[in-house]
Amino acid sequence: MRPLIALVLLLMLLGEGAQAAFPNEPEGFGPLRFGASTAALEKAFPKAKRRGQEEFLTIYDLEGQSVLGLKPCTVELRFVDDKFYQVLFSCEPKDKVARALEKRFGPAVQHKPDETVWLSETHWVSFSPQAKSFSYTDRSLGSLAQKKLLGYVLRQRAQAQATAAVPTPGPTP
Amino acid sequence: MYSNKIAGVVAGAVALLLLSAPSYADLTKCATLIDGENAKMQAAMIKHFQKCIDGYHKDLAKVPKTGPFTAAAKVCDKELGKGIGSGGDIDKEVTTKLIAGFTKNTCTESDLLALGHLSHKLYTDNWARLQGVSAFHSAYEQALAGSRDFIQGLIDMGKSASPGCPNCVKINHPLCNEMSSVLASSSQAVVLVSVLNLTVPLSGTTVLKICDNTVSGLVSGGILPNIPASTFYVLGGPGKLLDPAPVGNGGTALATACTRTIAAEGIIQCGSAQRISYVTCQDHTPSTTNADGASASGGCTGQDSCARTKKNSEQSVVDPKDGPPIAASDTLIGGACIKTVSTAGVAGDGFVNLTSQIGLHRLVTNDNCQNPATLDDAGLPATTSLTTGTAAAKVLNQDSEGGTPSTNELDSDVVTGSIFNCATLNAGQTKGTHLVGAFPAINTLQLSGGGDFLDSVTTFELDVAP
Repeated sequence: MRPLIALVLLLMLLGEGAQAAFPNEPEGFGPLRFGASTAALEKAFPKAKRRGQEEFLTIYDLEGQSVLGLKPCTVELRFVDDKFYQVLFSCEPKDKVARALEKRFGPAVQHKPDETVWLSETHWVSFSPQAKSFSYTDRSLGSLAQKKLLGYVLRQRAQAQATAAVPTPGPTP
Repeated sequence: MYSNKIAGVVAGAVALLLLSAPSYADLTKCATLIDGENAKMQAAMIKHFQKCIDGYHKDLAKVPKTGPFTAAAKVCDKELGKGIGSGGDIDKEVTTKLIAGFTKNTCTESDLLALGHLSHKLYTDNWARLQGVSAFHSAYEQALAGSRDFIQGLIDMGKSASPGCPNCVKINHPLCNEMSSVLASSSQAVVLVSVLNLTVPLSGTTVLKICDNTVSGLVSGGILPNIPASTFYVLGGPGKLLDPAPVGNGGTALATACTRTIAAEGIIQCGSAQRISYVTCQDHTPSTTNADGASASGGCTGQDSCARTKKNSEQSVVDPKDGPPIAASDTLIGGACIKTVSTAGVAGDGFVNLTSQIGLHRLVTNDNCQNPATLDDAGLPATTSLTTGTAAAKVLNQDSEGGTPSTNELDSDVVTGSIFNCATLNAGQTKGTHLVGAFPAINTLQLSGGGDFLDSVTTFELDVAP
């Protein structure tokens, strides 16, 4: 068997120096660029409501926005380690969302049953044909969020397992 | 002391290692090429299948003078030959577009791996041939969905008077068998951090489609040309390896994390085989920098390939208008490295890339994260490589309990897989399969008491229930 040189197993794409790979790659939402802090969000969007924070993750909600000519849109902004990494949109009219995305970003790169995707090394635009929602993600920070989420989910599962294994004390005589 | 503010953006996502070998040619172009060609092959086969079905229905309505289904058989055999014959649509697209696309650098090894495809370095052109199989199978499923008598038509046309339809006989059994593989209770993920070891049971199912070009030996020479003998391809479908988890406290949860397996691509060799084992290594605090594709990153030496080092400040992409970067330190973080070993395998050795997503959903659904209409966020996809060989992960200079770098090395156990059973694969079953994988992660796991994010190594063991 000839020696193998390199197997690279995975995933994330390094973003530095990458060229835009599809038209109008999103750099954030409005004046808020990916990587911005929650303080910057509150300054840029004073009406944003903080849904809450859990460890590394903070989520804000914003109502009544206009995006790609669609309105009204409910917007969810997500932060990992206080850095803006993803924005999720739910807009009306839903039947015009797919067309608006194609108009803005050109033909999609990937068409999967549950997801239509525009991707580059730095950004990820995803559209759910069923839910009619879409999102813009910074790939570098998004990957960090995914890794932390995986760690979080695994830890929760382990703790739940450990709790379930603790015997319940018997009745006091 | 390291704080969570310098949590690493070392490549990588949910699962694996993260390398970026030399560099990405152009990920968008590669994805467009592969998905575009797959769609083109599918469309071509759908057209051929439709002509077969139309001819069959015509002959059903009026029996040709030359005998039942003879007219349809002649048309269908010719159509199928255009699709699956040597030099036909699938062979041509695979060879002149996909394989040539790799030669011309439209797709590089890194692109393939980043998109969840098989490694060219390990399995040469199989990544492209798998696309042909995938396209054929998708078209076949659509033909079946559109015409319930599609297979009966192939059988009838195949039996028609000479010259009949030899190509109909070839494909009157599905190329791929869909198997819902239920994980056995022995399936688990083990997450090791400096201060504790978390064992997480994995339960659920993943839908694997095992594709056999010879349909268990029924088709001499195979259905599609140029696919290595005794090679099974693995395609994926939606599955679930982790139950939905609330993020936050119960009723006040911020969201629900839905972890879904969305795709799989793999290979099982039941003839000439190689066994792939790997160790992944990442140095938390290397003293020198390295470029992508280097054979060393800090203390991880003698590697096949390492991702480049990063400075902590590189992880702060905060707009200058928002103030100074959060991470003040310019300490280096090492790139993830991989060292693979290929040894002579035995029939049944295999390698599968599972692509998963963790979506965060506002709605806490009662549908177990299975209803696409309520899944408003898919999350970024990440690929976990699973092998029948061995896998292990290590972090050098790991964070200690207080988050301070130390000289300690964090080593996972070496997990060992076991081969697929080629005999049961022929019968359409994956039971007893044991696949393993491992990956390191820097600054990503926070213990329940809060505090710093620590380094970890994680191993996965997936057992398909007997």
